[in-house]
Amino acid sequence: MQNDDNIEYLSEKIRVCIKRRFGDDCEIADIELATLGGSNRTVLFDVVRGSYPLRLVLRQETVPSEYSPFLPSDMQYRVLEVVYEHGIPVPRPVFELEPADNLGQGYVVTAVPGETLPKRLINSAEYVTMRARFLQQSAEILAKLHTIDHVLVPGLSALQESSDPLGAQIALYDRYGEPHPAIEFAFRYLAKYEPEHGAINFLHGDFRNGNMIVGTEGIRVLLDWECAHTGSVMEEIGWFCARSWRFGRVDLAAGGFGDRETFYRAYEKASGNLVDRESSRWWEIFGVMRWAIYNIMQSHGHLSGERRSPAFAACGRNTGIIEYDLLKIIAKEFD
Amino acid sequence: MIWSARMFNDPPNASELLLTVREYIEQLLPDLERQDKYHGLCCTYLLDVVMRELEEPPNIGDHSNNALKALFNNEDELSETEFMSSLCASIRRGDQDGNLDRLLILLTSHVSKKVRVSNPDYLDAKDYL
Repeated sequence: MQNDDNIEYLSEKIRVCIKRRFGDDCEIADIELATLGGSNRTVLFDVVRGSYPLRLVLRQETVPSEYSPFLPSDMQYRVLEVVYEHGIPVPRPVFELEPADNLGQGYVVTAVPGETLPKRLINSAEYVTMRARFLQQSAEILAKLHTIDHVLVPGLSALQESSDPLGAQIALYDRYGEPHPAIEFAFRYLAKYEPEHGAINFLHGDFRNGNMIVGTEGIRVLLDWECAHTGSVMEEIGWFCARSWRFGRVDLAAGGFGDRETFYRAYEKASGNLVDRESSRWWEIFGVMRWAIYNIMQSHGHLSGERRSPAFAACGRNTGIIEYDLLKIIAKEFD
Repeated sequence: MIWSARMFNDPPNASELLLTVREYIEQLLPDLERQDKYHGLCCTYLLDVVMRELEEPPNIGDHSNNALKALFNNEDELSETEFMSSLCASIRRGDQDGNLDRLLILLTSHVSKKVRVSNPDYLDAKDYL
């Protein structure tokens, strides 16, 4: 199997790519295929020169661009550079892939040790006492992120996700050609009750439990910037509180870490801006709808043969469960 | 109960075969690491889904689908997929805007049918019809 799914084949290409930049006297070691994420392949490796290894992470795109709702790698890298320069906790950007690397689209950042599994963050005894800290830090990081001038990332405000968020989701859903009346119902409901969106800010776009690395002292870095765009900060707050990230603790509405009001107040204190409760709840419903469509997308990637995996097959059958949440929230039977 | 039309095959039946594969994957799981373990767990979930789908009475959900069809005065002999596409188009056009409360109840019933197969423990008792 001479493609990048083969770890030996991929390792050799990474070795050549690193030596091109850091010289022939360095070696790579401890190569580990971490995840096949929603939009990328993540490979960790050590660059060894002398006795001190530097652990790096390659994020290689796996979604063909014509089907992808995600930012192209060069924009993701620019986003990372900008937020890193503004003191947002993210892995340090190291370099972007070039055509000569023969590794496709992607980039390399420093590795950060820690925990990412949401269920462990929510349920493990080790982290139970840290939930309040995670909640507080989430609010503070978001408040800081939302002050960054989005024009520093050219093209961010021109994305359809930025200018027409509901239209962008409908367009993505339409690409897959699967009839889902529950999702159509949500489109209609959301259009009917769409709030005024107010000021436009820089958004992470997928800020939630699962997209952060934490330690027992708190949040270390934010990951997965491929959904960054501009919009109302209520979109980000609503997404964080969407029911899909509570992983069995539906009472912990704010990202599985705590209750909404505590999170809203922490954000208000950190940002100096009021949280529009009603608008945020509209964005929670929008978020669950969006999550259902992302699951259809992953299932489509599996069925089309682009990215075969049991996890992506499971996403197809997960869609109905998310639709169930969606309808129950609209009916006000679920919070 | 597996569909009777399939009962002419020798045992093990389809569910029993799937259970055999599931048990084998479960035995492997403790020795798998990270990504392989995750995909192994996904496989056991997928086999559970298939087992439930095979055991589901074929007429489950007919009530909610018939009610949906009645709501749309669907007199054509549309296939399930054609009907769902037609229903989606109707909602998108706004033809059902006067019926949203009733539609919400019927769609919850329709979606519950899917969740019965994918994760029945997730359903509210009142939706587990």
